[in-house]
Amino acid sequence: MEQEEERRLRFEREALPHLDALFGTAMRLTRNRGDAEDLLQETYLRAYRFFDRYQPGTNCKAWLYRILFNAGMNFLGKKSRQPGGVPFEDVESVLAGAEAAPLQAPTRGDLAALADLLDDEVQAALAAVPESFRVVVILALVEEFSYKEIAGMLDIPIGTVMSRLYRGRRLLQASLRETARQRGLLRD
Amino acid sequence: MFECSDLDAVASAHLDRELDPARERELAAHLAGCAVCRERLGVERAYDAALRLRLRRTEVAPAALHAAIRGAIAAARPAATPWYARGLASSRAPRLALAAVLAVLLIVPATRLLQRIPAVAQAAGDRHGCHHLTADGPVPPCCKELAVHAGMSLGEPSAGVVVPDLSGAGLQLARATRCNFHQADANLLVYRDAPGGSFSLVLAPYEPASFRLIRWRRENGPPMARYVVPVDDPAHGVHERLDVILWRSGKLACMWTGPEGDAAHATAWRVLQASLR
Repeated sequence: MEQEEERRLRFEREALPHLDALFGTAMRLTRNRGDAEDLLQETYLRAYRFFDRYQPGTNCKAWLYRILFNAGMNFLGKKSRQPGGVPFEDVESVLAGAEAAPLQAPTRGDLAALADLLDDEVQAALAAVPESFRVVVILALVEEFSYKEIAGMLDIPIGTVMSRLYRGRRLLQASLRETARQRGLLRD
Repeated sequence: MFECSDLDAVASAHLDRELDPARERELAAHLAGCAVCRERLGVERAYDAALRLRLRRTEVAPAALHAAIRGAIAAARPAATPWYARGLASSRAPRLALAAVLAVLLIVPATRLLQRIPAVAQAAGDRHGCHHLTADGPVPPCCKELAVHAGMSLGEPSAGVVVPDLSGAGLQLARATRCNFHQADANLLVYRDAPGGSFSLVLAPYEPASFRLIRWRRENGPPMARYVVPVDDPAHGVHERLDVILWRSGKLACMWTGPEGDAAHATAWRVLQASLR
């Protein structure tokens, strides 16, 4: 049995170097510095408690991301719960809405408008994308994890990663397009 | 044969270098002869690259957070192996058994049943607020979570999930869809038993923790029904047969699942039967 001190040092050596990368993702997920810090404390504590389940030699960063998202879903779920309950009919309407209209691919006009947007506007457009799509976009586009790694982190099939990423990209592009319109950088 | 209309569906995977090699060859052959698609994909690639740069804003965790995490780790202890996983760490059965016990907590409109739940399960139910589930009470947190997280229909139910035929219980399937629940796939099955009334259940073969849901609004009594549902999901290494038990009482409809033949299931099944006598 590994000694406690040895285990802690190994954890610090392998897991703590990824804190900055996870912090960036936590910020994009929670959109709030205080919440991001709370989420990371929860993530690292869980990771430490279950460090025996981490297989040395595998991708520690991906393992930590997996815990981050598990902790994050509980965290975001708690924040988003409203008193009084959510009628089940709402679930059905959400499901119906998800099958909505196709989204448009970017044009040269979108590309030019993107260059003129401010960093904060780009981040805000990302924040406006629904969570399950935003998470996949962040992991693929920003963190450049492979689809297989993302599937492992989120515990979803690769096909689901692909479909969410396709739709997430389009939703983000639509969100940026809307921002550009509001700024007068694009016309209808 | 690759058509221009196929481009949209493959662009994302192509840009991430994750497109199936055979499809990639088809795309390349198509692009060689189609200037319109070359232009569209060129714009998409440039847009993607620009977006990646704009989003990749470096964040540095504050020194205070580093210190707080180191302090918390120094004070923490590793998790002990839970009682239900001892000797069975590689099996899903223990987790399912716990889920089953938790599910019993969820399907207790009559509080007398609570007294028969093992203390460890009751404590788990307390953490989830499940003991608040009553026939006329508010929708419990687990159901609200479903509403929050069932954000997307992903199409047909997962391969291997058999949609139970509940016509014997007077219920007709209204919708069967794969959806997202806590970042995991769940299969949402909605049954209707009369115009204006509905009965639903979630069957989530991958995440035992989400084996719950339950909302009902029609005054009615039993029937109670029991089905065996084969779940075959090679991607998640799940090959098992689950018992699904449906129970209606007052305004609540309930689902209970557990691995077939599991001891916890047998006990819970007896408890349920006894409660209906």
